[in-house]
Amino acid sequence: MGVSRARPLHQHPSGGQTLRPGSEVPPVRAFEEVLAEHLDALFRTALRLCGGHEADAEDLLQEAALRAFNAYGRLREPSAARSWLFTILGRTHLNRARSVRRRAETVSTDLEEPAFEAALADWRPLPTPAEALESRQLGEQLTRALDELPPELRAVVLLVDVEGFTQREVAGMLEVPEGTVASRLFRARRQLRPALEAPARDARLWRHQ
Amino acid sequence: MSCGRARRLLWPDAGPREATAEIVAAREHAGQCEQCRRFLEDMRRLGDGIREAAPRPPAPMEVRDRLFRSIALARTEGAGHAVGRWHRRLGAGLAAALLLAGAWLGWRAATDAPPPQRDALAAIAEDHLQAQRSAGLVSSDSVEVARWLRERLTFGVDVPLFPGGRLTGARLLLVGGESGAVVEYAIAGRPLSYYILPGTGNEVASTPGQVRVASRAGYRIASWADGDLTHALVAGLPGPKLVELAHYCIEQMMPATKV
Repeated sequence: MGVSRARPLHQHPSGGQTLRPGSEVPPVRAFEEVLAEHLDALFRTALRLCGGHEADAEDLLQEAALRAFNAYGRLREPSAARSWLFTILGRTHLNRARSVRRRAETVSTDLEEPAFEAALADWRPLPTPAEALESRQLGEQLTRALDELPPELRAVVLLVDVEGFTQREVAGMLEVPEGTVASRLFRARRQLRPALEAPARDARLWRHQ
Repeated sequence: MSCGRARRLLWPDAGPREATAEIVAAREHAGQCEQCRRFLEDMRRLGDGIREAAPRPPAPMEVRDRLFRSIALARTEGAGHAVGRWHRRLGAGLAAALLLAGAWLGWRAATDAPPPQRDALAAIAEDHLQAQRSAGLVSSDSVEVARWLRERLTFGVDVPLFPGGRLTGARLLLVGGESGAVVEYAIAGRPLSYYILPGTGNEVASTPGQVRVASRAGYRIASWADGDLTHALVAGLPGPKLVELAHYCIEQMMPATKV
């Protein structure tokens, strides 16, 4: 067919779709194809990381996507693309948050191990284990509570609880020890707990009236 | 063992862990301690509750479009343009090197190199990005658009009308020295381009009625072959929607034929 192509597809991995004749290397997916597959999840994570500000989320996503595009040729394991994209998004966000915090001169929010154990011991159990949290109607409430979390806690709970990465994966993504991920996750869940409990409590009160 | 230590050692979601004596002791503790058992159950319930309640909005189409445009720009202009002065300097150096390399390759191509491989879909996607800047006919009249194209092409083009879509005009596309047609629409506020190009390529489905979906430059392209012509629909629409529109084209319209 008589059309011209902008660049040979095997010239750069981020554009690779075809193989050189005789090559045994599996086809490399175009960067845009990989990004498109995970775009919704990346966007919603960026949106929550930015406290629901869509313009900030788009800026964050743009910066992370361009960084990923630049580095796509160095992605050695294509099956790890999702984790790799979230790593770039998370680190880009934390770099931005650190930069802002340096200006605001705030302090670290991480717990030392003894303080973490003390916080675990202080846990007040949920009212009734058999009573399911009424989570289906909690979207807005949980969203507000997520937006109020400090950035470090928010990033961990989004990556572990919402996107389903393991604590070990998230530790690698954010370049922090696994214990720090555990501590942040506990504190995030503790802060989010009222948002998940309130409707169930309200429903019980309503039934008793 | 204290409850805090036992909970720390048995913290859920941390993945498999070696069963050290301390962890075994923590498990024994949790087996006998109702509060610790409930703590572990609460953590699991909270994790599940957050996962189920968290809203999962899709990326808005305009965000998606702007993102893929910026990547297309980075691909075209050199990916380093957006990430700082050092990268820009490196980019300038690379650009100079590429210019020299390009000149050398151009000279080689003109002498003894074989013709480069061609990818019609990549060309279509790039053209779609440029569509709004091209001159052509602005019209919502399908008869006028078909006539305008017929006067300028070596093959006839039927102009389909899509359910929920609005015809906005047409233009010509020059590919490989031959003219093709691009009919433009707006569907749900998004631009949709319908391409009819002479020739077919490997990347286009060759079985009659078969539609192939591919991605180029962030856009989905549904393409099919019809005789000596390639047809393609390009838009920032989901793949299944594009395929549906493609079948609408195939089934409802008289095929465009070479004259």
